[in-house]
Amino acid sequence: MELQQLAAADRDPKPQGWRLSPRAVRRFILGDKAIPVSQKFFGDDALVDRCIVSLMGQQGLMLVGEPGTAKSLLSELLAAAISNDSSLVVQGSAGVIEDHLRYGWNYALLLAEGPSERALVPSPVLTGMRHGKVVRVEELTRCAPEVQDAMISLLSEKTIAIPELGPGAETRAIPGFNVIATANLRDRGVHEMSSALKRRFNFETVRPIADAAFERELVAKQVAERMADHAVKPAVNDDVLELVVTVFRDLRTGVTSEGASVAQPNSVMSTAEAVNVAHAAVLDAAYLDVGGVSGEHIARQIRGVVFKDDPEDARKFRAYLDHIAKARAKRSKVWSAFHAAAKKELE
Amino acid sequence: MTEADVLAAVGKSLNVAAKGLFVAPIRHHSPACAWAVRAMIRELRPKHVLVEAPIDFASHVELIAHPDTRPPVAIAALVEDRGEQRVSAYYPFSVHAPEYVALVEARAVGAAVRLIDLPAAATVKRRSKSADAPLGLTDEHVFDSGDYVSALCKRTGCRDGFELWDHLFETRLGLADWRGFFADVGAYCAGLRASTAPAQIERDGDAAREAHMGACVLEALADGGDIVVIVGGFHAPALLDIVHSGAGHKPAAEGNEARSFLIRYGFAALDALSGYAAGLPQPAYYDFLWQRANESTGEPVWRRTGLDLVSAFAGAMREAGHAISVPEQVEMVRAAETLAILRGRPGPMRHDLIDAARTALVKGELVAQDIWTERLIVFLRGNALGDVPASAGSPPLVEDARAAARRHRIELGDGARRRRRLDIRRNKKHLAASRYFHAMRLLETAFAELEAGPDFINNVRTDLLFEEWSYAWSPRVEGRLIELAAQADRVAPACLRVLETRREQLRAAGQSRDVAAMTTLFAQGLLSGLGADLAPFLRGLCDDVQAHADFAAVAAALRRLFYIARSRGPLGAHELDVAEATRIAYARLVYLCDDLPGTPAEAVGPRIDALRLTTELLRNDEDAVLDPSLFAEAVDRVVDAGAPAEIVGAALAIAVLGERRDPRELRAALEGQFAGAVTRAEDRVGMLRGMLGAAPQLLLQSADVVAAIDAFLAGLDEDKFFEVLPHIRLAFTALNPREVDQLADRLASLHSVSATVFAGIHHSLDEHALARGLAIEQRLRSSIAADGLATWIASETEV
Repeated sequence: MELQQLAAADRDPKPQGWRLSPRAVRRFILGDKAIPVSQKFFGDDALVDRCIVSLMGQQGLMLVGEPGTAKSLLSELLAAAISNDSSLVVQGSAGVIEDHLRYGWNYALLLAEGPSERALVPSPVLTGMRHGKVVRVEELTRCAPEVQDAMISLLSEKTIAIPELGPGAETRAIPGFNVIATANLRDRGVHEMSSALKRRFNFETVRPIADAAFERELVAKQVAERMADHAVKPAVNDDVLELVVTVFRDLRTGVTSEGASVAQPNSVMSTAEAVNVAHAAVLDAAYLDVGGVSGEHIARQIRGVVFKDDPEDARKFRAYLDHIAKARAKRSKVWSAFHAAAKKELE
Repeated sequence: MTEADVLAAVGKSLNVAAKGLFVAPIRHHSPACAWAVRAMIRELRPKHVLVEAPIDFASHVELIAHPDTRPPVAIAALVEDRGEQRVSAYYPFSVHAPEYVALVEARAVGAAVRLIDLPAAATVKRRSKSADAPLGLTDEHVFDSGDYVSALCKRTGCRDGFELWDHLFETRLGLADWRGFFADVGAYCAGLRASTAPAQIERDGDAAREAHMGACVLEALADGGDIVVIVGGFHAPALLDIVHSGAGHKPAAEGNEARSFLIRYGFAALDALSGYAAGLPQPAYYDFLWQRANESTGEPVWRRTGLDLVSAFAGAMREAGHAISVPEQVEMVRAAETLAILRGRPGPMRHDLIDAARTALVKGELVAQDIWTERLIVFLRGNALGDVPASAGSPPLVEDARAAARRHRIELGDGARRRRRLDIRRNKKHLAASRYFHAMRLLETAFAELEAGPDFINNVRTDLLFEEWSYAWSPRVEGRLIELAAQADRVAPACLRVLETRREQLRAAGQSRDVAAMTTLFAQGLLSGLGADLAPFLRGLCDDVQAHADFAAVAAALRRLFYIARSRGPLGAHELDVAEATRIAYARLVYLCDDLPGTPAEAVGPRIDALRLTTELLRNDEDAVLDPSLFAEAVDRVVDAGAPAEIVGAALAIAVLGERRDPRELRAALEGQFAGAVTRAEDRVGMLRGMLGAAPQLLLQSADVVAAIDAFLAGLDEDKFFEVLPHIRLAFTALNPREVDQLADRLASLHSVSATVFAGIHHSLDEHALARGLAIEQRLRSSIAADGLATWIASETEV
């Protein structure tokens, strides 16, 4: 819907193969009240600019950052805005082989007819090249090094040769093709990227959302979306949302807004987890309780969703409750409910 | 009327044409504003040009506009603070500062210049919370914060007030329409002003400044003729209100005249982010834009400017050993240009370049600030230094320091940090340069740092031949010299003054007797090449030594002076009679020897050390500067005076060593104490401790002494032995490992065993565990013996 509106209003010049102009892409992602288009990515406008500019060039775009910083969301938004199609995606894993990046065969047809265009099963990358679209490769560093190596030639030649179809048979990318990869460089169990591959990408680090108000907005919106199909919709007050976001921010950054330092747990305290907690709390309030969502519901969910099985994390969380939450509980009802319930959960 | 109309009206009201008044709202160091100011003055040819700068800086106007002045320069104001003249404020001018351009152009069109802000001292006193950091007089934090700025940033997609300013105004650099430009800046600043709380304006003291400026404008208006007012945009709306209402207020001059100097300033100091909050950050970038606009006499060729900046950056990085490959440069230029187009700018601005560097050069995940962005920012900051004409009347001290630097071939052309290696022992010129560096260090100018080399002050690695210095001339150096300028006009007297001041401080702190610290100061003075000039200081030092009452402190000073007198190197002082000072200290020491018998317990340790060090010193005195017999006689007197056991032990040992006394006497004294009636175990070995502290070598030289100790230890029963063991251990720590080995051999031969029998045994037990174990064993043995079972263990011990 928004894409159509944007396309209709788009007067700016478009790079070859792009469905929208770069400025319209920016508006799609960062929002524009005039059209109106909602803001879908929060936090770092310059980052979005740089991503768009990278995709206009020869280099691929590599989004890196901690888990849960909306890298995949951003890559989907970019692909949707630029190519009007975010479905061309290769999900990186140890099981990915080169065929997933190039092409495979429908073996029944291959045996019956021999190599032919009909028997060819194109990869998302090949499809993207043929139609001039942005292709997404998720979790590139999870792929084996030889598969990553295949990316190098794809990105530099922008051509896939298909020798089975005859000498000289190859697909050359038409303008509009590019690759957005996401990767997690700090996770365990990933493969180091070769510097040759690194050279073919422009890197962008997506950081956790810096602005607390934005984060709250985002959590509220995502929870509302998830609750859209439910019949019961308990009220989520602003102060409850505030509490979720504050707890997550305090533990993520290791510093409270007042400047007190907090021991950071090993668990990922990303916005995505905050949404999960808030969502679970809403469900709890909706189906197992009466009334609106309170600090108590949050406290009941936070343990299960975030602090999985690390006793060290439980210790840090207890310290947080004792030193930070307790002080706040004296001033706020929501915090007081949160503190009491969370302490009980920890026993 | 909408808000936009209101703002537009404010913009237009800047020109009160009926009165011939033109207000130019500016941002400090903005090239676009400077360009418009120049166009404005050239077109209007006003009778008066009024500039927002402290009124008491008026005497510098001529000099700033002088053709030989090469910005960045600054006016440094000295304000009285806690009884000291300190550089408390800087008012910097860059070549692209609207104020500077206004002064130059005013001179060109023959306009009268007036500075209209409150005196610097008034601003400093009101604004600075702590007087420790100098204040920038061009503070404009309002441009970078506030609701209005954030709302506009959101609207335009800029990340902060700096990018917003560039986006809205610097992109208009070189355009001829100054009226339109100032109308927009005025509207922008009116917005800023309207969204700033009146309380904050009051708190910042802006109201008083604006009243003063308004009064000055009214005065000029009364004079008739066209008037151009160059004023920080934030103040423009208030200033216009005052002009319209005619209610300016000029406070009476409160004797607020600050002494001030025009000094060389540097880009690094100009950078808003590096301290003094003066306008736009990264001045080398804006300087480059200004040059380009001047070259094309209009809009800079933006694309070309971006390209040249990237190439220059790549060149600088290549020189620094961080080459950027050509494809990376291409990508950086492409990204910068595309970002500029995307953001609707005529060419890559500062943030586009920084973004482009991040896109093209950074590979991998950013942890904090990445190295490439940092390098680009340093590059855009630049390190150029300005220059002032010879007639600027820098204080003579500054000129002397610069002239000396030139003499020593020390590069002062820019603010970059350089290194210099000096061969201080073989090369006279290098030694002179080293003395200059030391002098500047003594003056606390932060000009030079000694990175490696001999440390004569603390007597560390004094055998090294080379000194390695790093140095950089910065406005801070000049500021510090200006502070000292009131006290001296050349470097050497300034150093003397600093030494005197420190000595007075020591006196005031009740440490006038700290002769060790004084000799350190003296050594610093020598390193700084003060030479003969130190004679009065040395005399003062001698007086202090002569009046000093502590044996150990005088010994330390003596030692210091003795080695300085012998030094032929950088510490050398042929012009001074340090030998005489040494003799004076020695005489005092000998005199103080007679106090040794009354040594209080806590001073025993240091005094024994002092005795040993003095003995060694006399042994090293090949030139016979000092008469050793004086000391020997004095020590001899101590032996007979009945001092604390340690002191007697030490004195006796020294006397034996000097062959004034018989070793048997020492043996007798030791045995006497070993066998004496004492209440505490440690007293039993006091004499031994003193002896070992002062002359450990006696153990190896004198068989008598060893025999005495051996006999004493052999004669102890086990209870007693454990009692004195810790004290004996403590006493023997005076020996070094080699001496311990030699002693072990000697004792072993005395008992006809080999020392290696013991050497091979190492226990992982600590001292306490061992003592406890031995005690338990002892109790066990006595218990067994008490039970009449001594024979059980006797056979074992007999073997």
